[in-house]
Amino acid sequence: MSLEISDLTIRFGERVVVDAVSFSVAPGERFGIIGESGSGKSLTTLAIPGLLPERATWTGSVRLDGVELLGLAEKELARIRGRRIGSVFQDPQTALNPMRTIGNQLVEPLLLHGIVGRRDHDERARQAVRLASLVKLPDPSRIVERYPHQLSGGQRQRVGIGIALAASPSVLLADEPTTALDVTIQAGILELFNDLVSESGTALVFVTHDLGVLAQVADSVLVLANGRAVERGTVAGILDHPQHEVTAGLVAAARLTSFDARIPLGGGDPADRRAEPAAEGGLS
Amino acid sequence: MTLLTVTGLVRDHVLPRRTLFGPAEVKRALAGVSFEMADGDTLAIIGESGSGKSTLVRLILALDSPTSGSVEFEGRRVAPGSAASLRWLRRETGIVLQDPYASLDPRMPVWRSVIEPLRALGIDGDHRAMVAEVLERVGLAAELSTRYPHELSGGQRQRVALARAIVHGPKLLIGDEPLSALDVTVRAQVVELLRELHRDLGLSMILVSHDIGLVQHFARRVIVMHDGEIVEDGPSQRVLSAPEHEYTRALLSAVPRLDGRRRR
Repeated sequence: MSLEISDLTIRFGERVVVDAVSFSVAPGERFGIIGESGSGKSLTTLAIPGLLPERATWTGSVRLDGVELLGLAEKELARIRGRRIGSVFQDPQTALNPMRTIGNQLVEPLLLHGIVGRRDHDERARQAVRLASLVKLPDPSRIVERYPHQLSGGQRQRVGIGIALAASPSVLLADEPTTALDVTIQAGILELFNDLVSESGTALVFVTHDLGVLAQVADSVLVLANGRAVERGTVAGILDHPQHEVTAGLVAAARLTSFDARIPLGGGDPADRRAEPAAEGGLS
Repeated sequence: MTLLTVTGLVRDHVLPRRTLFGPAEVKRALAGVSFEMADGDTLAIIGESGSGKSTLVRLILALDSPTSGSVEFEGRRVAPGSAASLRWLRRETGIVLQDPYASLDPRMPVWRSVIEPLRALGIDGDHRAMVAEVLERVGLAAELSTRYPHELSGGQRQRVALARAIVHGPKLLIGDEPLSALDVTVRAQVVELLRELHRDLGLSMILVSHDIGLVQHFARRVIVMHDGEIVEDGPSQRVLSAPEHEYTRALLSAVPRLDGRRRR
């Protein structure tokens, strides 16, 4: 197991915001965490690299390749972040430094962890181009000279993913990484996650509120509600046979509001429409 | 009966000059948009960022002037002007925005936010009774009327914003991404509420969204926008099941599906 979380409990003062959550993720596994706002999904993910807000207290265990992370000194956590655990955030605009070139930001984790020497300019340039091509940025050797504002939102998120994967971490954490993007751009980023995980064998932890996105990018899933793990299983399993009422509610609501090419649409009563099977008609 | 007629709308934004000489760069946000909307219809305007959908809404509500072209509401010309000259349009329209937090005054209890349009638009009648009625209609308990926005959940706030948008009995309700900030279970409830309002009050509705799911479950007609132009316009049933334009097809195939998953 790459990542093993057991009985993770997070409190703000007396208030329990994450309550005895346990799960594990194997190398190469695509693991999703889903929940609505306030379910504790982001805090759970922040706890893994030790990034909880200062006022939070916690108990339980977070083990990465057998090593306990909870309670590690900041100095040791800094050695793990970016090297063993890569993180991709929601908004690539704020996650990147506007004053530094794309290339410099891509290789930063390699310099920080001493994998490439700061003065080894040839190797830095080579690595920058390698990472830019890894995340399928167009014209890698030119784009590394550019600045974030010269890139589109989707390209900036590719840079964010490149930075997270630079030092070949065993775990890749992604918290709503496509929420700020248009759907056509989102589709490309989800495909990139899938390609990278199957090529690199890194364990992916993907946090989302969107069951449709989850279905594209995860095999197994943990459903959180009010800080508790209410259900876990395969994505196909919880979509087709949700066991817990929270999961059933999420799936039913998603079916009522998300696009489904199998049902006809517009006007009428949704109850009538759901019953009818329909042709997919030229969509794929 | 035609409610809204949009004819050849163009809106150019002149960008800041990059050089001292030569013409300033012009960005065309809308490039000649025309359509008519029937009274009582439900219309979704779909497009990604930069497609011009929000510019279009601003022009329909006279919040901005077109470079050329015109908007008519029940045959009357819509153009920016003084509050008094636009009162007729404000009476006939209501708007709900994406973030209910931003559209409600944090210092006003619910009832004051909802009563405000009645006073501002000089609507006759018993305002208190009208507020009570509209709160019930949007499914808010009467005791919530003395609460402040921060004391409400996101879904309740969006219901208050809806109440405020329809309290004066408009013909047309416009929603600009009205569901985007809501959790999925709350979205489903608000979609249901919109359907009820349409059915019971005969409200005409324009919903602007990037969310194709919403179109499928709500709108009778859809307009797809891309780069400031309408690329497709028709009954949602036809457009979503047999899209004619290449961009509509690309958009539809990019939507993450619950079913038909695994495109690895």
